[in-house]
Amino acid sequence: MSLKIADVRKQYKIQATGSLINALNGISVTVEKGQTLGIVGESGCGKSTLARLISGLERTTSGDISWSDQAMTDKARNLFRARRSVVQLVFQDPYSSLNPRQKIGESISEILEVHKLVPAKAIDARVTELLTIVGLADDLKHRYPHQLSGGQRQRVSIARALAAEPQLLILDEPVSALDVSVRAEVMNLLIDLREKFGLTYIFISHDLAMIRYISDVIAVMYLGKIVEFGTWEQIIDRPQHPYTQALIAAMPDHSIIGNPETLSKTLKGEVPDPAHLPTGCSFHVRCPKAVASCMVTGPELIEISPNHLVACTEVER
Amino acid sequence: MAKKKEVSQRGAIHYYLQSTSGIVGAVLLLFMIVVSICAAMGWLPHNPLDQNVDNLLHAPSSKFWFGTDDFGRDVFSRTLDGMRRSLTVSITAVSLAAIVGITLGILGGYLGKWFDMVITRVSDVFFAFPAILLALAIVASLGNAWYETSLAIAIVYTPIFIRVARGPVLSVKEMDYIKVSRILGFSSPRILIKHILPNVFAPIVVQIALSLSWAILTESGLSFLGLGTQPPNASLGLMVSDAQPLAAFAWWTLVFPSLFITIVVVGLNLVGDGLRDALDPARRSS
Repeated sequence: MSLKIADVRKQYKIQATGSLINALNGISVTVEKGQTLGIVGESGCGKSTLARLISGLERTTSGDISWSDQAMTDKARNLFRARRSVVQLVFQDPYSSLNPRQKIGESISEILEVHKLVPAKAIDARVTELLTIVGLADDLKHRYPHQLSGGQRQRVSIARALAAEPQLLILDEPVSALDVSVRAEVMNLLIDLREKFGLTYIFISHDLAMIRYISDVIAVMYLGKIVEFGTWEQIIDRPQHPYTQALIAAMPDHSIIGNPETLSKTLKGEVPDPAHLPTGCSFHVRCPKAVASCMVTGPELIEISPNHLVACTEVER
Repeated sequence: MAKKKEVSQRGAIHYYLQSTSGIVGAVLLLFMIVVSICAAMGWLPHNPLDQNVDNLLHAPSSKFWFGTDDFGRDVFSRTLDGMRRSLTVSITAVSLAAIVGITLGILGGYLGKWFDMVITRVSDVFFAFPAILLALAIVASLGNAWYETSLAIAIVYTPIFIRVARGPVLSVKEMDYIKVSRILGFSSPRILIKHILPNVFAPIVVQIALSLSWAILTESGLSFLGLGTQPPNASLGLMVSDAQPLAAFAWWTLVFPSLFITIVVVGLNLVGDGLRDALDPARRSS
């Protein structure tokens, strides 16, 4: 079983101007069952768009997403009902992802009731079990979300996703809104759950340290494209694409203050407007290694060593 | 353990009773409702329509508590009966407006697209008229039986409910917990009723209380202008209107009906405040 994303594109039309925003420009990636794919990139690179497409909240403009060779992009009416047991999503903001008027216990038991996942008599016990699995006390059942801390809320979100018994869990920046002290606990919980239930994760973050901690393979995204893909050792220790190198240089433990060599690698300028993508390689306007040909030809993802793909003409040489 | 559970399960009523303005408002409103029921049951010291030529413009006394008007009718009985009529018209009007307006507003906000556009445009047209002018025009074309007055006021207030329900739905439906509900495979009716409605409920309930007070004012206004309740029947607005030429020498004919209008409007506004605080779990000071 695996998640296959094949040449997925997504465009948004801006009603006012009629211009097209190219959010995703041909994403292809495969994640094997039990693996974790980390997706990293700046804001606006399309990582959350990809999460919405895989979860079914939005439709692809073109391309296919399939789980164990079953297409997830068909136009079946009960799309969500059908894919409920395949994919679930945990959002970044633990404050807006829980219904403020629903007690914690109810928000979990509702899933069990609606989909009849356990017999009616066993619902309460199952809710307790799910709360225990994510490390929460049973008596939180009767609380409202606003009575919980951010970390507790995020655990509830995870428990709720688990209640639907998914095989694939998309984690869209699940810890970036949490206190630093709580992050490690939630990260460890996620790793435990992955082992325990054989879950497949897509872990989206702009924080390379978190990505490295949890991912088996990492995809680096820039302006709706994957620019580098590989195992975490390949990406973190031997980054090939100038953009990946810049991201890693920007990690706190790499850019020791005053070290001119690493500071010079950090990026200048802004991400270009996705409505008017640059010609050739979209990164050339900010790339420290850009040559004249970069403005003309857009590079393809090329395998430079086993399982390590880079989209940069300068690296191929 | 058991005690803890009890605290967190306390409902909105518990929190409502902790708000002073809420209690005062509820007491005032309850008083008005009791008064209206008495009037409806005919438990009045005098018949509100009985004219008494021996007691024209009698000042308040033990026999005529609020005095009598220029036809010798008992102002106390007429005020109570007027209160009943005003409340009946307003409650009918606001119920109608709320049911239609909330349904359209929530559906418009949730479904979006052309349905939402039609609803919004039509309510914009209604908003373009001043409320009392629109009500006047409708009453003038419908007639002035009490249910026709109610219908006129309902038509005027429906767009307000559409707007009050639609706005919060627009923001709530973008919340992550609604997206999660969709991913979890919940049906649209379930999402609307269990996840959206409870989260837009508070402003709507507050709006109902406030609209009731406006509806009472509108009904009084219509009667004042001669288009609502017709003589010899009593209505608070009509009584104020009739008292105009008498006020200089018979203050009681003006003061008591005005006082009742004020009390019921203030009461409803206070109830609205109390509800607003009680219905928001995050506002509760626990």
